[in-house]
Amino acid sequence: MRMRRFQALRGQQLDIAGKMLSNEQTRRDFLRLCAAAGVAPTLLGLGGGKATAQAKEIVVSNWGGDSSKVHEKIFGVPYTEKTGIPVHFDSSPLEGRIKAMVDAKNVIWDVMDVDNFSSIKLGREGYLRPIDYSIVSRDTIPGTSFEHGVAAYVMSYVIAYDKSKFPDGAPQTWADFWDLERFPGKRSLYKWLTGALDAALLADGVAKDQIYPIDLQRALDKIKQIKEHVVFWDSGAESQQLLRSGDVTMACIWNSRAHMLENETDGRITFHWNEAIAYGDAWSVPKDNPAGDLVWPFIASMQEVDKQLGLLAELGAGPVTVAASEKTPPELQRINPAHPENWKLQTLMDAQWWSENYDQALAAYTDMIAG
Amino acid sequence: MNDQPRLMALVAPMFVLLGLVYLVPLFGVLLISVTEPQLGLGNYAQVLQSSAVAKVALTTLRICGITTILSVVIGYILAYVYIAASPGMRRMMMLFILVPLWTSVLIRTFAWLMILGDNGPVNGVMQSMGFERLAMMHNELGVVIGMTHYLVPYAMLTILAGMAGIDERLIMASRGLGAGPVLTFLKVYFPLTLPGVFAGTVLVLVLALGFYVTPIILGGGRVVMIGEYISTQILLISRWGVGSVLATLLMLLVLLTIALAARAVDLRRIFTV
Repeated sequence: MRMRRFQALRGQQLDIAGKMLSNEQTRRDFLRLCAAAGVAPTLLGLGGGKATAQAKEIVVSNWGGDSSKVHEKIFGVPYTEKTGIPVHFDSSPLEGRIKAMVDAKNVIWDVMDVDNFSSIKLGREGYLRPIDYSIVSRDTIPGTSFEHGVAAYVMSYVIAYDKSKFPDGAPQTWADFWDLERFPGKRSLYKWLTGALDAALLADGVAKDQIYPIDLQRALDKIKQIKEHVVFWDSGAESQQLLRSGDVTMACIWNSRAHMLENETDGRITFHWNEAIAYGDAWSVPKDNPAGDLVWPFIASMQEVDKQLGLLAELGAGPVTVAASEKTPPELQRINPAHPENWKLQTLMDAQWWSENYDQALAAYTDMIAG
Repeated sequence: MNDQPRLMALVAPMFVLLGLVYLVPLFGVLLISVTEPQLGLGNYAQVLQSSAVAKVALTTLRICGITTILSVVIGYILAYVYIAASPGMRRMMMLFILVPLWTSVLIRTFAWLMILGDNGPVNGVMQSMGFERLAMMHNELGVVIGMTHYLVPYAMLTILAGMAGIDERLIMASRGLGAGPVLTFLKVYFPLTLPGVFAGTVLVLVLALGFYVTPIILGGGRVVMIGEYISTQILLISRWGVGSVLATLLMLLVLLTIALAARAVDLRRIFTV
């Protein structure tokens, strides 16, 4: 999502604020916080830009923070060791920045981590190269790879809840999530839309396979019913903070964050996969990428089983290849959204629908929250 | 001997620079509001008919109104106490007023989030004393608390500047002529402080209208003020036209407030505190 840069910044602030409270504050964090404060509202066009791609190197653009470190460790370093081709990392492949780069014929990225619906949209508009599926494998979870974006990982919006608040049984479904009488307390939904509409329709009794095409008005009306009891989270770090502090009793959040919470609270906050809403991120290649066709073997290398499992272990991002999911070690099966036992409980967001409707749906959703 | 032209020449580069880096882009924003996505006043019509915009505008005005009143009242009391305090006490007061003023707004905002959160220390104490937990964060109350905390020093310092200039002999004269303390305050002292109060009100109101980070963090996503709404329109959903209409209207509102203030009080007082 293009607002992820937003979140990355705010998330950083919250993370730092959290650290300060546990006395881990350092001078550098403080300075970063101040810098972030000054930078936050200005956004577009800032950041990055230092990595310039020349021949014989590959530049990956991801969403910064932990993923930068982990991607470098899992994808970058081993690839350079094996092939001698340096891999560099940059951040924030916002749609607007991708378009600006391609339009200005000043492309510095070779491969970018984007929402798969973004890859469809940008591909349709002519900003991306078609994936070379003769080198890259398309043997991924159905509905996650497309002409201009090959599946990178899957994540899910799960119901995470505070077990200590519900001694008589946990909320199992989105209908429970909407049931303020049986399950009292505040809720939290994603401020930037994804996950919320699917959840609302499921709560309203729509069958799992009937969600798409989304009936926007119906979903928004359903959310309106509980709006007064909903806090809208803005960044992954904020979603954790709301549950951790007990400000909300349950929330629709990313499985990776739910897992982190489960660990840090010794299971007081937990989650399940029932009715979770999965979505995929994709690797896309901008038109006129500097490394040219060198990028395809690199993307293929990111699909290898150990790389996929590394991503799961480090970031809670689910493997997209069937081969990798089959080899998930037992201790990681519980947190793997793509594990068959978990997968069959979930629904997958329809990337095609989102590629056509994201902007106007988000506008309607923000107006609903404000209005 | 007339230095006027020479002085003007010295100042001219500043005007040119400001014009280039400030007025030109500003004009660009005004232009977008009538050109995106197509030429005409369509954006203005859309904004005026939108119920979301109406709600955002109401929320903004309500919060700014309450915040301004609270800030000015608290600021007035602080300034009054300061004037009456001993020099040592004054230094302490100034320290406690200026240190928060210099602290990053984000740090202060997060601090409120922790202190007044549903499970924060204040609610903990209240509950242990047998009171109900009070939802003070993730709602308008939280935003008002956070913004008031930020704005009180501005109100206080402005009012203080006015109070410091009052001739004490007027108070003594009033007392000497037989007025009691209350009557002296109401009839002599308070009217003399009014220009400062007015200046403080305008300053605080203008600052409050543009608040961005505090409502986002303390409002729990539901208290959407105009600053955030504009940024969402422009950065996230690419409705540049709508965003710039709102930016234009906000700017006009601020200019109007200042213009009204200028009729009532010498503007230089506000901006030379």
